[in-house]
Amino acid sequence: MRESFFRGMTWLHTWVGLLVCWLLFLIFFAGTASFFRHEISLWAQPATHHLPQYNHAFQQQTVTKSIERFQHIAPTAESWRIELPTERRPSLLLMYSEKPEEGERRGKRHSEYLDPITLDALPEFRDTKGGNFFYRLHFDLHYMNAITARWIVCFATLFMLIALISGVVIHKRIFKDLFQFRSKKGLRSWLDAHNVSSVIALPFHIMITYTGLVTLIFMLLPQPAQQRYEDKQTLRAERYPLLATAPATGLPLQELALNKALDHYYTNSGNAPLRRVVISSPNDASATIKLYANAGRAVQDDPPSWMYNAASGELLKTHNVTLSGAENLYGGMIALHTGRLAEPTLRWLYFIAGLAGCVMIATGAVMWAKRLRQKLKRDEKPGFGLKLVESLNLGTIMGLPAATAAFFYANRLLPTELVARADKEVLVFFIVWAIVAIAACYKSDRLAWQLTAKVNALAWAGLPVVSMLTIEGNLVSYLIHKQWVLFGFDALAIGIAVSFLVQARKLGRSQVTPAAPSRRSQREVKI
Amino acid sequence: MQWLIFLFCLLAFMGFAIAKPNHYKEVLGKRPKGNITSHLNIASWLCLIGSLILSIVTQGAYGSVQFIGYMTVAVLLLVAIFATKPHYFRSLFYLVSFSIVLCSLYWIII
Repeated sequence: MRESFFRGMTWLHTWVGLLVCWLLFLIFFAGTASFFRHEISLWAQPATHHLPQYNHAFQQQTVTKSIERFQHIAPTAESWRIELPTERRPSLLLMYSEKPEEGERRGKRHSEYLDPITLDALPEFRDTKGGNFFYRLHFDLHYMNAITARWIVCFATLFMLIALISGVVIHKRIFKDLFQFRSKKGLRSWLDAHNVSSVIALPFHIMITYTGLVTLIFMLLPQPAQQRYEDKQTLRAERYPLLATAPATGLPLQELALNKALDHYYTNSGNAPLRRVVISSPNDASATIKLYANAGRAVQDDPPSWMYNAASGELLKTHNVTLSGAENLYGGMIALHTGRLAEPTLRWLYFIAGLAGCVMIATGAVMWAKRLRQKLKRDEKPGFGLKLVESLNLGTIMGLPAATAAFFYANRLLPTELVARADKEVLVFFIVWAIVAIAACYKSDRLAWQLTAKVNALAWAGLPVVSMLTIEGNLVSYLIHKQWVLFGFDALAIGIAVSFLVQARKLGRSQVTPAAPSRRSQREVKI
Repeated sequence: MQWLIFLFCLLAFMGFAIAKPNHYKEVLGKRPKGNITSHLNIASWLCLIGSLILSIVTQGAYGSVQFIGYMTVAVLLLVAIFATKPHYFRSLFYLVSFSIVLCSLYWIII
C-alpha cells in the first residue's frame, strides 16, 4: 500500500510537472524579472536616469503644480490622475482621459512623464514597455486574448501546486538531505540540484503558487461572488467603492478645495506619503478628489484611500483604511505575491527565491530527459517524445535568457523615432526566442547547449558595453553617482554572463569524460 | 539589526547541518559521540526561533516575510560550502560568531 502510494505520487509529480514545465518556466522567469519591474523600467528609460531621489516633503507642491498644468492642457478632461514619484520610479506621471465620444465606453487617455520638481517634459523620452513587459508576460502571456491567457496560466499554476505537494510527499529525506549536493555524480547531481532548489525556497514556492491562484480567484471560482452579488457591477462597486461616480450636476465647479482635502488627509493619515491623486469630472460641481496613500511596508495590496468633495473639501468616503479580516487576508496574500511592499533587501531575497524556482523547474525538465536517455540501449534511437522534450528544454531554458538580452539590446539600439517602438522591442524578444527554439528542434545535444551558453554569455556581457556606448553613464559612473539600481542592472548582466561562461566551460569539460555529465550547469541555467 | 537577524538564522542552520553525522564528520573529522546531535538541534531551534522573534518584534509582518528569505539564503550558502569547500565551515563559524558579537555591541551601543 505504502509503496504503491509513493509510486503513484512519483508518477503524478513526474507527469504533472513535465506537462507544464516549459510554460511554468516562462511564468517563473517573467515573474522573477517582474520583482524588478520598476528597476527595469528605469534602466530602459534613460531620460529618467538623472532625476534625483524625490523628497516626499515636496508632494503638496507637486500636486498643486500638476493641477495647474492640467487646468492649462486639459481643462475639459473627464478625469485627471497624478502618479507621484516613488522610491522606485523617480518621474512624475500625469494622465488624463477625455470625455468619451458617442458609442465609446471610455474616453481617449493621454499620459506624460515629467520632472517632478520643475514639471518640464523629459527630453528624449523613448517609447518602451520596460519592466511592464515582463509583468504582463507573467500572467497575460502575449499574442493572445488576456482572459484565455489567464486561464492557461491558472491551470499551469494549479499543476504547479500539485507538483509541489506531490514533490514534498515523495521526497523522503527532505530534512536529512537538506544541505546535500553531491557533485559529479551524473543523474544523482541533477536530482540533488532539483531537491536543493525546491527545498531551500519551499515556503516561497508554496506561497507564490498559492497566492498566484488567489490573484485570479474571482476568475477561477466566481460562484461565491455570484451568489452574493447580482452582477459584476455590484461586486465591483463594493470592492472599489471609490470608483463610483456621482451623476453630473451640469454646474461648473467654483473652486477646487485641494488644500483643505490635503490638510485633512495629512492630519488623519499620520503624514503618510501619497502615491496617487485622482480628480474625477474636474469641471463639474460633483467633482471628487481621491487621495491614495503609499502603503509602504504594510502587508496590504490596495492602498488606503480617501475621497473628498472637490467643492467643499469634505471627506466623503474612505476605503482600505481599516480592513476587515477577510480583506486583510486577501490583500495580504496579494501583497505577498506581488512583493510591492519589499524594500531592496527583501526584493533581492524575492529575486533569489524566484531564481531558485526557475532552477527547480529547469532541473526537473532536464532530469526527465536525462533519465530517459540513460535508459536507452546502445543502438536504440531516441523516440519522438524524448527528442521533443530535449528540444523544448533547450529552446525554453536557454532561449528565454537570450530573448531577454535581445529585448534589452532592442531598447538601446532601436531608433527612438521609430513608430510603435515598444511593440518592436517585444517583437525582437519573440524573434530571438523563436530562432533559438527552431535551432533547438534541429539539434539539442551537448554541443548545442554549449553553443547557446556561449551566445548567452556573450550577449549578457555585451549589454553593459552597448548601454555605455549608446547612452550617458556606465558602470563606473553609476558607482560614483550612487545610482544603485542602474549599477545593479549592469552588474547583474555581467554576473549572468559569467554564470553562462562557467556553464559553457563545464559542458566543454564534461565532454571529455562522458561518465560525468555536467552538474553545476543547472545552477547557471537559472537566468 | 538586519544583519543580526540573518546571522542568527545562518548560525541556526549551521547548527542543523553539523548535527547531521555525515556533515559532522566532514567538518570535524570524527563521528559525533553521545547525544551531541540532539543538543545541537535544540540549540539551533532556539537560535532560529530567536531570529524569527527578533524579526517580528522589530519589523512586524514584514519581518516574518524577510525571515523566510533569510532562511533560503542561509541554506543556499551552506549547500554551496558543503558542495565545494567543506573545510571553510569552521572559518565561517568563527566569522559568524564574531559578527554576531560585533552586531550586538553595535546595536546595544548605538
